Amino acid sequence: MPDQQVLTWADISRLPVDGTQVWTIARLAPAVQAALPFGVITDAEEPASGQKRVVAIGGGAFLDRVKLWRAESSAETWLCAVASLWGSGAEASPIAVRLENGQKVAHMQTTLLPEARAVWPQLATEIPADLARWGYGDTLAHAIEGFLSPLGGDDNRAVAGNFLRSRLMPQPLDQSAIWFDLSAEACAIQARAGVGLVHGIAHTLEPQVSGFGHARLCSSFLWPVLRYNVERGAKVETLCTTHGIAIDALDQACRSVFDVGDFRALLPELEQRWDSVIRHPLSRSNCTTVRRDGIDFFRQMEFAV
Amino acid sequence: MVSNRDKLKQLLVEVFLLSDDEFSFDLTRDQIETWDSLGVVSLAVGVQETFGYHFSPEQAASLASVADIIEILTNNNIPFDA
Repeated sequence: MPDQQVLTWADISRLPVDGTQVWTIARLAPAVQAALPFGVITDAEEPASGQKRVVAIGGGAFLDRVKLWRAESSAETWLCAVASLWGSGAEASPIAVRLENGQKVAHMQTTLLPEARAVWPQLATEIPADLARWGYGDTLAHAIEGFLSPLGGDDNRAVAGNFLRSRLMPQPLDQSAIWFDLSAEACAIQARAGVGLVHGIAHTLEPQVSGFGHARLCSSFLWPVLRYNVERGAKVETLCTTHGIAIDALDQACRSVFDVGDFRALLPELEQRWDSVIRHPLSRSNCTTVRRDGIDFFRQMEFAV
Repeated sequence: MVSNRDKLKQLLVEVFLLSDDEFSFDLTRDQIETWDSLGVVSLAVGVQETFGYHFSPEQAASLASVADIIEILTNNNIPFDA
């Protein structure tokens, strides 16, 4: 995978005005126009094919749309991605997810990776608390599922273990711009390995369940799935021990983003679609086998929160 | 006590998303649509969970039939009755 440049916000502001366009979500357009000297278009439009440089600023779904636009319609465009919310890591990933015929389809190719990513620190302070917590859950899900993935090699697992132990788990959740960097790193880790049942569930339910976005779904199922994987065998505990990760601390981190009300609201949806969940490619690359009777675990799980 | 043969059958039915009727110990990889690259991964995960045996990636990719799985497990002291 090609390397990605990490730029500062000052680097962005020094890009040549000629040939640079900002593409952003409508909510951020006024702030972008005040902060940067470039032409701005919103997500209601698309840049002209062949645009020299695009700085895309928005959430994960928007950044995925931008990445696919560049790969499919304007391959020569230099792209810098700036996330408006942490969690998806779309700014640092060669993966883009798009709704196709009612299903979420993940595309993966090196041309989807933006040439650069940057953090706009001001955005961190504007993220509502719920979105920050769900974004944290999505970030944790990427790091944990990347760490445990049977698709990852030993080198990536060592990087993931170190990242979880020494950087992600000790970091208190606050409105600090460091979360944009942690989110991007977690996403890069999972992109080199894979994800598992948390994302298999989220991608199955997301097109079907209104009011629950991707990050909220990941947060709702992260702790239950960790418990499921621990119950299924010794693999999780063995890998955690090998890499110096305290399983109790990992459990507590996952539990901190869990909302029992959300879980209970989602459980009937999960029961109804369990057959689709176990057939989802992301569930099939889970670190433990996802079985037909696995739904019973989620039905019977006790929530001592 | 559940025999290793029954454990393997249950595992393969789960990881390859088969019905009990579709399963037989004579099946080959070509006959199981879900024995694709993801199937290789989930098979390796499931065998480790169920039998404690770890397929190397090359070994898992080279498996061509249910009989191949049984042969490797048998050769590693995991007995299968006829």
